[in-house]
Amino acid sequence: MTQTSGPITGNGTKKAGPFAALSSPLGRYILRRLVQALLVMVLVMVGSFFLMKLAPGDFVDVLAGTRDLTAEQTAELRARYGLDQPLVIQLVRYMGLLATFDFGYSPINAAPVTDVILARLPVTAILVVASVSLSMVIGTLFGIAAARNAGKPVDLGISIFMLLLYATPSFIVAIMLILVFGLKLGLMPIAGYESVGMGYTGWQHIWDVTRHLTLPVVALCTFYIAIYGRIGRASMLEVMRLDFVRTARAKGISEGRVFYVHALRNALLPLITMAGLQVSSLVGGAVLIETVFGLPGMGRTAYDAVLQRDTNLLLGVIFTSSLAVVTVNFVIDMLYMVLDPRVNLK
Amino acid sequence: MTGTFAHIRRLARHPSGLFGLLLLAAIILMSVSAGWIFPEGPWAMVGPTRLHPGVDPRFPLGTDTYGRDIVSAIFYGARVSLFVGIASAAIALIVGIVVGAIAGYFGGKVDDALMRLTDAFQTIPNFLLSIAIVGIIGASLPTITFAISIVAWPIIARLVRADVLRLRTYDFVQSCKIIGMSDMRIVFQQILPNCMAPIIVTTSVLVANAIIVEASLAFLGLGDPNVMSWGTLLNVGRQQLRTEAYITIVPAVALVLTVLALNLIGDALNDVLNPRLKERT
Amino acid sequence: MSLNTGSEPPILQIDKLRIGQGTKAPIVEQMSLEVRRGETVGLVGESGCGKSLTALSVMGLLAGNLKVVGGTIRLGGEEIQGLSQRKLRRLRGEKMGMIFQEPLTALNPVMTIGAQIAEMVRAHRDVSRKAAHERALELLRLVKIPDPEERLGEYPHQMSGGMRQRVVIAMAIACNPALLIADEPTTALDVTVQAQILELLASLQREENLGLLMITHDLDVVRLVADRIVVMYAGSVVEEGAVEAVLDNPRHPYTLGLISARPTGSFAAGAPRLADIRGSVPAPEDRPAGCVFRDRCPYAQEVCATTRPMLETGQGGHAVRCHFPVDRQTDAPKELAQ
Repeated sequence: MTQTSGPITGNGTKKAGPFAALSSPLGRYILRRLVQALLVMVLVMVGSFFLMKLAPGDFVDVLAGTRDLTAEQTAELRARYGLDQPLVIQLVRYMGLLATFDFGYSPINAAPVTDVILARLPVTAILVVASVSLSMVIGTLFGIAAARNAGKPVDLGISIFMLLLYATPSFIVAIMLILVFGLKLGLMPIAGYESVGMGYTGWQHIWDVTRHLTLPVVALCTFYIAIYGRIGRASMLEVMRLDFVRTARAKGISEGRVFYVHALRNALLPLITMAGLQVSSLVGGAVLIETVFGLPGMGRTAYDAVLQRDTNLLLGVIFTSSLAVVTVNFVIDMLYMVLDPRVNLK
Repeated sequence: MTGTFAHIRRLARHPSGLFGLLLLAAIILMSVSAGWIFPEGPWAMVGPTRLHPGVDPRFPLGTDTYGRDIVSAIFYGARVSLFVGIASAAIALIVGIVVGAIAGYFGGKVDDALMRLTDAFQTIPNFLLSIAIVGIIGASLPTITFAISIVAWPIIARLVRADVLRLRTYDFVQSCKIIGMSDMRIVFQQILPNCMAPIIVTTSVLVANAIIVEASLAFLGLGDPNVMSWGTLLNVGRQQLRTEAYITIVPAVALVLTVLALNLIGDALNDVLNPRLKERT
Repeated sequence: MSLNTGSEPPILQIDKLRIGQGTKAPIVEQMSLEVRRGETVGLVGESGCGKSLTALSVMGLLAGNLKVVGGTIRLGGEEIQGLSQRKLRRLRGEKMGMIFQEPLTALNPVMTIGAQIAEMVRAHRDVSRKAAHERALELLRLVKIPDPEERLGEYPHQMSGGMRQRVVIAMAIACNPALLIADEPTTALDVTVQAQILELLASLQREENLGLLMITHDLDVVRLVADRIVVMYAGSVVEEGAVEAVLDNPRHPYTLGLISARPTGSFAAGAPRLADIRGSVPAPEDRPAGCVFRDRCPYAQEVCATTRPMLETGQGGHAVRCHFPVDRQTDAPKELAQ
């Protein structure tokens, strides 16, 4: 009993070889989650392949559209890229390419897809990381405030506000923010990632980028602030009814400590699982937000790729963002294990 | 289904649920009456261009950059929103229920495989997949509906699977097995009716989400070019934001109110169908 | 039994307590009870009679809109009604501790045992982290948990129900309270573990000279650990006295019924057997006028419907609330001498 539960609490004291870890419940759990993540990525690859096949014309047709190619040349190109092979062979080849981050060539950018994605990744990463953390903190604070004042006017006010945020799509929020803070009040920049031609460096540059990204981040946040707020409130109220909260009160510790130390940690657990889903949804939302704000990120890139039928680029973005989502979810699972000692390793 | 009427009555007595129902009724009325009130259709350039709201009583909400009546566009847009919302929710429900029921009932390898598939669909950023599908196949109402439902079913599948997993161990299911009822009949006649409540509640979220995605696609110019959607108007309004903000604000309000109505109905359904979950503090 | 002659005020003194919910009929009324230092009082009654509510009101932990609407609760002679939350908090833990029924859910699942005990110590004593940790260790030894050093770093789910109940007990006595309230502390445990926990409570009570209020529906538990017994029915006391006196010679028909309803029947040899008590505890708003037990009482007479009997104290502090207390000798109700 004590031996198997040791590693779960993070203070396992086993002194065995590196492979011994795999035979412990924790090791097996991590391994199984890794295999699951890998399987999901394989399915994403297969999906991408069929999406590509759905597109009218293949890669060579796209090339042929941009350059003058003879029938012989296109046939030769098809043979070189294996497009004359059976579907299964093509699929395996394609998966091999994706697995090595070789997404092919992007005609509209006249560059390898990998290069394009690497250049666009940072903006989206900043947007997503900032939005996840901001919405989680603000939403949870709203949830806590509502739960602490359950049934009072503050609770009603917060609940109505959350309902409105919950019903407003992010791109509508984006447009309204542009309208109010950009066009009417002239307070915030409404397009681009930085001020063009100002040549800012150091802190000035960081401040400039922060200002440019503020409205986009807010727009991406609002819906999730509502989600965290609603879940946070419900979860907090539920936890406050549990027996151990009564025990904590019976100990004569302060009501604040009962609320923030005992109840909050338990109530936060469901919110953490939410963050995994949020990342996936935010990358999708970034398509709209980056387009509205003219930001050079992955979402905007995907949109351009759709409009200009650059399938390689589109699938590259889908693969990369899916990989990011799988990674984040894996990390969250591990984090959850640390935060909740009860996690069932089966 | 004896309790259906009672549920609706309880829903109507739920204050925010009633508000949601009334809003939704208004939207349904708009989409039904669009053809009668605006027989010339939403594309007809019936008035002067860029007419602001409140100026000409014939066009209470003004006209867009082409002189099209915005009220008419909102009425016809309600049709598109409701059609796409209901159609994609229906498809997502069917696929989700079938996948979830099979995974939950049979368990084991089948469950593992189906759950990884569900994971995969929840991993790919949904909107990214939707624009990819619409972009690659081409924008039309059926493809848009397909592109929305293909990313929406996993929520239902997970929900149904969890409930079926729970219910299949119950005595009544065991006794069905003993009397030799077929698996299909057990799942669809015995188990599913017992897990309808969360499905019904989630359906309102599905419809709301589908309406948002459709409007988003049209806003990006990836909507069906032959139908007038609220997103179409938003797309037109986006270029005129500085001078004719109303072209954007009117459909934005329509969209938010519709989603709000569905959310309110969903919350109320949750209270009505799960009375034991009701907050009593 | 000369408990009432002590000069020190009882550690717990409840008088005419009423607990209610808004304007609805009170759930607990006319509830009076005393617990002295070094004494174990068994509070018994069917579920829903208000035992736990009485305990929670002492702790100041009534949930939701339940409130004390009348009467007094004195702790060591000091009235606790109307005390500030801060003062009440100081009393919880320092003057009184409580043990709950469900050890599986009574502990915070994401905090280690050590942290939960040390937190209690540090909330009431100005001691260092290390000293609190030492005290936690000492307490685990006191409640006889094996390998206390290792257990300190464990989480509740890693322990059995009995071990968890020991941890809850350790927490409750961490700051040497004078009063310990145990609300059905063994009900949720295996029979074998029940005896161990009862033994532990009894020995702690002796060693620490605690006043122990043991709430239970199990008369065997009372017989085993209690000095005095208080029988509650529908929100108020119907009979109380020394354990032997009450259990061997029950005077209230309800107590008699409780004893007879036990699987093994009466404690007293030759006592009449009642198969069970008719009906069930009425809801607060359905309590009949007059005697609340009237509807279920085999001896009810006309006066029971109109006049509510008072709690009359007889020989040796044996009190009963009945117009026609049972008399074992004649096996028939006999009117109490006026």
